[in-house]
Amino acid sequence: MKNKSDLAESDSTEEVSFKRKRGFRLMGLNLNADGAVKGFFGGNAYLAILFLLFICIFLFKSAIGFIPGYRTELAEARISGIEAANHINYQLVGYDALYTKINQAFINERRDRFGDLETVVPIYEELESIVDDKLEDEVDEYTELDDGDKKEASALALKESIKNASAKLSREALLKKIKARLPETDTISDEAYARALIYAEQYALNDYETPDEISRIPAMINEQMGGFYKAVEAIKHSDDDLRQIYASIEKKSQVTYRTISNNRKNQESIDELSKNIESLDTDPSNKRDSTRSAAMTKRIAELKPKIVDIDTAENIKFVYNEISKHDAAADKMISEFQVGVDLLAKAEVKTEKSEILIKESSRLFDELKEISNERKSLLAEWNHEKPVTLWNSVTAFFFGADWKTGSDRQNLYGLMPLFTGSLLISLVAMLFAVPLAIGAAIYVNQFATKREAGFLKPGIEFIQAIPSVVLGLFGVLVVAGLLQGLSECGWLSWVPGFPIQDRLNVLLAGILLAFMACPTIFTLAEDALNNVPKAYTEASLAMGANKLQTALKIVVPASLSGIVAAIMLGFGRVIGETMVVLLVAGNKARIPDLSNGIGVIGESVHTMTGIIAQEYGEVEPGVLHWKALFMVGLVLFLISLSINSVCQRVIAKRSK
Amino acid sequence: MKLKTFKTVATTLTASLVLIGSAVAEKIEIKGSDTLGAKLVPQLKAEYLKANPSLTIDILAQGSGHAFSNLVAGTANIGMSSRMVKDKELDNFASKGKDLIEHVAAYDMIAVIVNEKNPVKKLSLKQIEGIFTGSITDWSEVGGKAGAISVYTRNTSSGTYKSFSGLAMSKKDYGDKCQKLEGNQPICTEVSKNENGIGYVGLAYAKGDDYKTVKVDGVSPKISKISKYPLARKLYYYTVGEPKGEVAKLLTWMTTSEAANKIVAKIGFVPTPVAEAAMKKDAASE
Repeated sequence: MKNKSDLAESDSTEEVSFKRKRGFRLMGLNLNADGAVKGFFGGNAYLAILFLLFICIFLFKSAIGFIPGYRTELAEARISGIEAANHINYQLVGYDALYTKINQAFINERRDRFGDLETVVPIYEELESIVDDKLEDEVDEYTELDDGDKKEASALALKESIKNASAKLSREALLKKIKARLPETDTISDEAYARALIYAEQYALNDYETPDEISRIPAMINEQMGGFYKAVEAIKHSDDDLRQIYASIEKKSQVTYRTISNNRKNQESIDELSKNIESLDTDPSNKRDSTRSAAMTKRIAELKPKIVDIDTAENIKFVYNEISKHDAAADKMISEFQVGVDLLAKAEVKTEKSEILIKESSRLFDELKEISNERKSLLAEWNHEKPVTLWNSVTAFFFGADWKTGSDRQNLYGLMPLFTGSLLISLVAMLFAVPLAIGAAIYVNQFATKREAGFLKPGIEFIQAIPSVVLGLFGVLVVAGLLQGLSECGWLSWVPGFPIQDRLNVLLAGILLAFMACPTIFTLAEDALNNVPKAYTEASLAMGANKLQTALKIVVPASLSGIVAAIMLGFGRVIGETMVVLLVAGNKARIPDLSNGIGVIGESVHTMTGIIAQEYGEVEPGVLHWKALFMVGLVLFLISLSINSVCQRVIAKRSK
Repeated sequence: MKLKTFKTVATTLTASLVLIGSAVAEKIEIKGSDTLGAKLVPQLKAEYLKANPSLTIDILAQGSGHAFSNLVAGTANIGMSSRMVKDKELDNFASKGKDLIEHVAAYDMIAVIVNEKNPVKKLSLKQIEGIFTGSITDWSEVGGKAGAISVYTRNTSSGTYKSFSGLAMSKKDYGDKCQKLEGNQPICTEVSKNENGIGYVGLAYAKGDDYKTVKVDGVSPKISKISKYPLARKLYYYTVGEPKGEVAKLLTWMTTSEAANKIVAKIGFVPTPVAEAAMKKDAASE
């Protein structure tokens, strides 16, 4: 009883102390201590919003100039004819991809048939490197000598020491080295060795000049390859005409393009400098700084002659003239290629590998025909005066398939390779992270004893404290090697994409990012599970369901919206991660080849975050490239923003 | 992002901590390229300070672009760059009424490296162009063991990226299968761990475990071959106006003195006098 009255008493004294205090009244505002504290907290909250707004404005402001700027560059590329060159280049790239396959098949076959003769070249190169490494002083000494008896004697001595030095390398060791190159070699014939030795001597005596015979050996073998060689030769030269047209259009259009864009840039510089001079002149607070304006005037005088007249009409006439020859050249390429393919079909092929390559190339040949026809019709329609609209520039950014910067030809800013890379990595990461983190959350929340939960929960949450650069380095130096080693194990070869070729790839980045996303998903999902009213669980248990049934059929469904929100926030975390992907994704700015199916996870990709971190460093502020990076940043920002707002809606729905 | 920068900053910090003990008289700030600033300039500095203990030298290596932005802002006395100044940057100097002076720091050779186990010992410039533009995709095409080539390059903001495309690829675009890495060291790491890898690095990085250089057009990247090696380039120091006082003394020492040249050669660059003598000799013999 006494206690209660004590409590009541203390309550009443507290009430007294909370009596309204009298403060200053200023302009209708009551400024007292409480108000100040409230204002301080409120101000902090609004400051965060203000900061967010500030970031938004900054991002938009920096990025917005990109669309019209890119439009100008695209228009310049069109007027100068680079676009036409690009159409031809697509065919040539296709041709290259095809030719390299056929060439590989040929080389493989050649090695199989003429192994012994072929060994002369690698043996010679081994001996050459012995001369380089061990006998450099002697050779130099010999080279310095004037012609005469002394030189001849020295030549003999040199030959002797080459022979001795070469003999130190045992035949077994040599065979091992040759085998690394020509795996089919079984023995090294004395004949081949003797020949190689003579060539090595010539190399040393002739001031490090590789004897011509060495380059003639492959030609000799080629002659003996018969039909196969004829096929390869037919294919090898089928693109000559087309390549020539490409080269001449490229040359002319590059001149036009570079001149136009340099003129524009110089004009911009001049305008800016004159504006600076003007503001120097008119600004009364600034005492006229004569050295500065003199330097600027000097620079303007330097720049003015750099703006040169160019007859674009004349240049484009030349381009059209070349284009008129294009169809014939493209047809010639295809028909000559066809001749080669027919010869190839008749040629005798012994090795399985070559056969596979040839089959593959005949499939690719059909594709090349399609590409060629498509580009032919595009070129027929092509018109350098067709205006480039703002919309063109927008689509060129969002759907462009190439991100090429620092190019001496034409910079291309296409988001697609970066976007697909980011997306692919995030999906792989979620594939690992979701089951792990959700499973862990269910276990910790529903089944773990208090002691277990006591170390599991902080343990998992601690992962968040690992700096991402540390994780990235760990990935490059440790996990990458482990993963590659694992992928080379025979018993794992059923896994799609194994064995992986690139050490740095989507899978590696996905695994590391999954590790990073785990604590985010785990914590939020665990919270969601915790928020399920106790009554649900108790009712379920009372109805006779066991613990597992209750967890999976009652608690998880009841908290599903929270779990979904957790997963989405985890996704947002992953797609925005920079340091880890920069270090381990391999940074290959190319749309992943989805024709490999799931095998695509063994490829290297580039990401939106990675490109900003990688290229921002040395871009001068304000140029188009700089703005393009901000556009990428803006896209990232919008993705994160939409993920967050969707999450908030999902959570709001649940709490209703 | 720039681990090397971090390293440099760390070494600079420790070095400057040591220096705090000595009397601080004059301070010289050197900023810019990490090709120069990661190894060479810090070692030159250490040597120079032995004779001039009262001097303070700060080095910050974040990339060639920073050389010019800092020189314009007046926050550096000397800029290091692995490329020549761009037009846009010259404009900036002009609008501040400043004059930019170029000094050749040293010659560098870009070495093409492959894995130690790769039997290929030499490549022609044409083959290198084919590999880096993506038209050659298999090692068997250049006389190696069959296997798809993995190409590693510097990233697009690097001076070396541009120099290489000019020297080795007749300014053509890199193929879209290139993996762009963050510096010389990561390229060495990847090539040393991938039997089918190929990449290029500054000569200072050309010696290492598990990878080796190849001869380009029959010439190996050795200091004695500078005049014949096709992938050689210059590295620069820049100053605003003709250097004066301590800065002038330091620059002259770094570019001409015997002791400095020894360090330059030790790190793996070619000292300017050596390179120029070799070129003169070659020009005379032709």
